[in-house]
Amino acid sequence: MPFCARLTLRTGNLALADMHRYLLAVGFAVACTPVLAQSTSDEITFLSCQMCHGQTDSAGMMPVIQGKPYEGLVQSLASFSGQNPGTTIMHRFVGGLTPEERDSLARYISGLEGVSR
Amino acid sequence: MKRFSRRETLAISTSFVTGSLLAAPAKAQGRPRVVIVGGGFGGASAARTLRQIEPDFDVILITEAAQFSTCPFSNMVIAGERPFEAITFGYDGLAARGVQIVIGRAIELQTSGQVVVMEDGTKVAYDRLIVSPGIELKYTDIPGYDEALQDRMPHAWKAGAQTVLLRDQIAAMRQGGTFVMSVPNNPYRCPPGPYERAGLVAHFFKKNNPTAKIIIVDGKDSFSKQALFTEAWDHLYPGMITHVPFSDNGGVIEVDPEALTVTTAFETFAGDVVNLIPPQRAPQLLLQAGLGGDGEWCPIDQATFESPFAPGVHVLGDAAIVGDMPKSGFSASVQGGVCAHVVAALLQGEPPQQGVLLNTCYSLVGPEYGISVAGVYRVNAEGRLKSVEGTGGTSPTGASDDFRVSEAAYAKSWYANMTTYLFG
Repeated sequence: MPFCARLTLRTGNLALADMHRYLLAVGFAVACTPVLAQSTSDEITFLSCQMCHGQTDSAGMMPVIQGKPYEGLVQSLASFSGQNPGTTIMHRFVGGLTPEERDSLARYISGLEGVSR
Repeated sequence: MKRFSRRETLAISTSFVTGSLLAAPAKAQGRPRVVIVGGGFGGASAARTLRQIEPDFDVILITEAAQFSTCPFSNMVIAGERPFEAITFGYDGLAARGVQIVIGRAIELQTSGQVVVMEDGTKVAYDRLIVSPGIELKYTDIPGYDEALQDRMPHAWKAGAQTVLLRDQIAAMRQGGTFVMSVPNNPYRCPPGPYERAGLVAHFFKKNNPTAKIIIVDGKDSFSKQALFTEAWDHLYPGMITHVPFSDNGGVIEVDPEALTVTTAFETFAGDVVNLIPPQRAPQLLLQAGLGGDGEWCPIDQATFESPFAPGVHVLGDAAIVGDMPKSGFSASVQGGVCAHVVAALLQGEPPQQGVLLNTCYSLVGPEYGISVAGVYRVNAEGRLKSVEGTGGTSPTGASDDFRVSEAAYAKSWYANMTTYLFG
């Protein structure tokens, strides 16, 4: 979302009237709507991933993925979208991401700090 | 992203704080203050995420009790497969992450004055408010039923004492008795939940009361994962569960908690134990603040969770209408995280970003027999959170026993990982 990202309000002054900030923010959100529908944040998409793959792998079923090598992650995501996904549920998710989003998400996850537990 | 400068006082007390400390005007303190009402999946996720991405924000979580018992896996408690303690969590983990926990009941949202009024009269001020309080049961929608009678015909649709009560009633049911479930029409919390409950209670009966019967009196004709549930019931508990769809019962018109009968337009069902799940709505706290508009659930901007009726107030989870996402704990958890990002961006004066949102709901038809439904959701050009075509869906019908065993193991892992993430 490069266009929207540049529209950052240059204010840290919380004394500004809330309504003023609200209207500005909503104005930007509306201005960016067509872009928002197309462009996604890896950090936000990962929120869904980490509910299952976040901090612990309690039963050896859903591996912790953050900090894992990019190559393995992107390969797994690709295999889930193939003919023999070898999974019970991940293949139902990956079709919702574009190839570019899968690649970007894998890069993001691999760049996170690993969890030692 | 521009950040507010850190202060030496950044290290926020992790102790539980009192309402009076929180009553000071937010803006005088110069730190953005986000108040979250509701200590379930949505609220816990929003609080955790906000503290993680904005360590300079004050994040205050208002929750009615010091512990939260989850509806997911509560059916395993009812079936005697897990202790109640295993689905109950405290807030020490969130407190250790810097979330200020306020235990008490919010009785009014004064959205124009940006304060939450607590039962003890204290007022909690906010810059932005996130509301994720779950559901309220409409006890009196069913003639003959009343909140005072809930122990006679437990709903067990908010996990807690009712969960234990229903478990104990089922365990004490006479041999060969009948367990009647009354299930509402959509929308309600956890669409597949009643049918998971039927299967797990059947598992208990198969071991302990093999001639018992289960009758589901349904307020609708079809239900979530129906083909998978009925396949599993026939396979695991042949002849034990009877599902009576709305078209065959005509709808519940009256119940008698003393006689333990459920009367529909066409027939009266008598049970030895009756599980009456009433229709539901967003809690009165939200509706009286106008967040429901003319309805009983809260419409929102589906990209930002912000109420169209109250700027600065974000509603998520079961109480809100969140596009195509179901009313599930997992959905609320994901929405809480996304809403935290939205709120952080707006308080920093930046446009909120979007992501891809997922829902995953496992159901256990038996302790070693799992099925699932999944969904992928994106905000479309019209600003609606829509299910992505060709994605998601349920487990396959006709799968092998190994596949079901595998999904049961995933279900347990899913629950453990999610609750550890939120409350650990």
